[in-house]
Amino acid sequence: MTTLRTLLDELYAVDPSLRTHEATLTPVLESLLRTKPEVTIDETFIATLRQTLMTKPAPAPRRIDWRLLFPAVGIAAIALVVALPFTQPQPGSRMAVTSLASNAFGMLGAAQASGTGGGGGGDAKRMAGDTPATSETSIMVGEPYPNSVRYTYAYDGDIALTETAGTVYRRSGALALPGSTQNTLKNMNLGTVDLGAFGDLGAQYITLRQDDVNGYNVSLDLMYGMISINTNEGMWSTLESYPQLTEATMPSEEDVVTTAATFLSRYGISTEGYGDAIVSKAAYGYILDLARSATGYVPDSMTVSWPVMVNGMPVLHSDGSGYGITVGVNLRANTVTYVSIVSTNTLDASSYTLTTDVNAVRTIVERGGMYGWQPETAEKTYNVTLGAPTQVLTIHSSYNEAERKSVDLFVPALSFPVTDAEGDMQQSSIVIPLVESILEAHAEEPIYRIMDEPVVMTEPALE
Amino acid sequence: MNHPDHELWQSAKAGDRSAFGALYDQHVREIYAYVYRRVLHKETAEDLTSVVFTKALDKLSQFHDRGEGSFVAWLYTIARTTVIDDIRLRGRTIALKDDAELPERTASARRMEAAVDAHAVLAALETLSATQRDIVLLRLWDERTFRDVATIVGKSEASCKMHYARALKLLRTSFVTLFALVLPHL
Repeated sequence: MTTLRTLLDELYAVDPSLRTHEATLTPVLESLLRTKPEVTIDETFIATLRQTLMTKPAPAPRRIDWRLLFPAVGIAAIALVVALPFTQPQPGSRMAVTSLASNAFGMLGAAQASGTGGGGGGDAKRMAGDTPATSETSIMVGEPYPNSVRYTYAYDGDIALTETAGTVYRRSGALALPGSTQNTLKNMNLGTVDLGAFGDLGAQYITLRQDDVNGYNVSLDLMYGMISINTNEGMWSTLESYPQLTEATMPSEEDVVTTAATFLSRYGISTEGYGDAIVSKAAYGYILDLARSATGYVPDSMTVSWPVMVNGMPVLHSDGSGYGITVGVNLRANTVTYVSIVSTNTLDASSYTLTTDVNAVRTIVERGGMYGWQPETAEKTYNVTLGAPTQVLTIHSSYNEAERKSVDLFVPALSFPVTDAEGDMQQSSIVIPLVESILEAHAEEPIYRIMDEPVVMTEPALE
Repeated sequence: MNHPDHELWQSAKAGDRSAFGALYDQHVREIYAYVYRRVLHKETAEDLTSVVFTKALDKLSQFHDRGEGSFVAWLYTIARTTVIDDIRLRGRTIALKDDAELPERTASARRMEAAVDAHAVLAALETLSATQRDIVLLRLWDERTFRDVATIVGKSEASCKMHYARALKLLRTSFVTLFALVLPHL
């Protein structure tokens, strides 16, 4: 039993000023302790409840069926398959693809400052604030990496570019709630506000929350077509209580994937129609090195991604991570902190001209990707070795002026895996899109603007 | 993880009902005590304890093992939300009212003292926020460590300690006055 002295000392440790009030604090604590209600346990109740629990049927496994959640998407997909002669369902998935005329998504590459990745762990998209520039040369805000470090990317194998045309896919992002749910929401009368007075309201974002501070919340971005699962607030204070990572406590790469996969399985989130799990070996090695050195802050999270498969190819971000299902794993607690799932149920397809210019591709590979950038002078050089490329699709974001929204395109690309890396290189591969117009728009290195200079994002094209 | 609750939980999660029975045997009494101290009514406490363990059985797969003591802290978390839901349902702020089984205002001086104390404590506790009250009672009545308290109320350990100290400060200033107010009515 905790003594009064212990309780007082505990209080003084938190607030030393209370020590001067011991004379009045003592009776308060004594009263609180004295009035602790006496509890008499009824053993008959304990035994009866036990018997009830022992014979209670097992709970049914919980599954989140996204198809039930968004039946309108499923109906639209089925309608496309039935109605359009060029609609082709992808084998092994619920994906429906509608073929359109060539170049149906407009000129790709012009006015783009999008995609993720960047030299040495930089991230051009975040630096550009996701806003499309109007120049054919990408304009990035801020420098992607301190001047003192340069990365060299080496790939000395062959690059085969034999196809002159390839299919670009456009994701139809929007998701829809069942009509009955929409009707209930838009006609809700909240007392102060009657939503029905606004006419035809539609839900754009919905967040549902488990009634457990240590549980999760699920957000639906119906317009963009994304489902996000995040921990509730209580989980973060729990995670804070874990000690910093050391080499001994660092989970293996396999453990990280298992943690992510187990979470998906537990909540019935299927990876059918997705490729193999991707974990950046370079990022893992970087964190492991910091954990070994034990001299400062050690990052404690990694992502595991499952790329959606389209026409037999994985869809990747420009840093090699998968586009589809992304799972964030806290390494200290070996637990999942977030999941994001992008809806890829319906796609439009259109043919575009691909590059056959090997030198152009090699040049961009050697600068570290589309948004790679190297300082003119550097105190230190890190070497990154790349392996033989594989055929993939990569994300290219295109801004639709008319609809004022960004759409995700999946374009044919080559993925050069990082086989060896120095420094804090965290990409798992360098991904180069092969659509000719995109490559031409990125033939020159992006121009980075320093943050203390005025930034005008609508500047005309540089000559 | 290598502690008894972990192994029992793993087995229970895999469908071994006897393992869940063992977890129940270990923790049911303290969970019942926690619930009873909030509702002060035998039948209500029994009903809510049944709800707590039924929820625990249904949600076993959602428990994340953080080491020794975390399973019982998780049970406390379920118990806390169950009690809060019940209090909301019944429209009362704290259970020390209505049909609560308080010491009677008769008989011996000792009983009188207990009754005075109970009512003064009730009045004083109602001056605290719900979170402060939870933290104070979890520490003093249920003797949970601050680490457990943090898990149960979903705050950091440091934050719980600060809430606790502030609550005791408030109680210190209000207690004497309240005591004086309550006494003449008993």
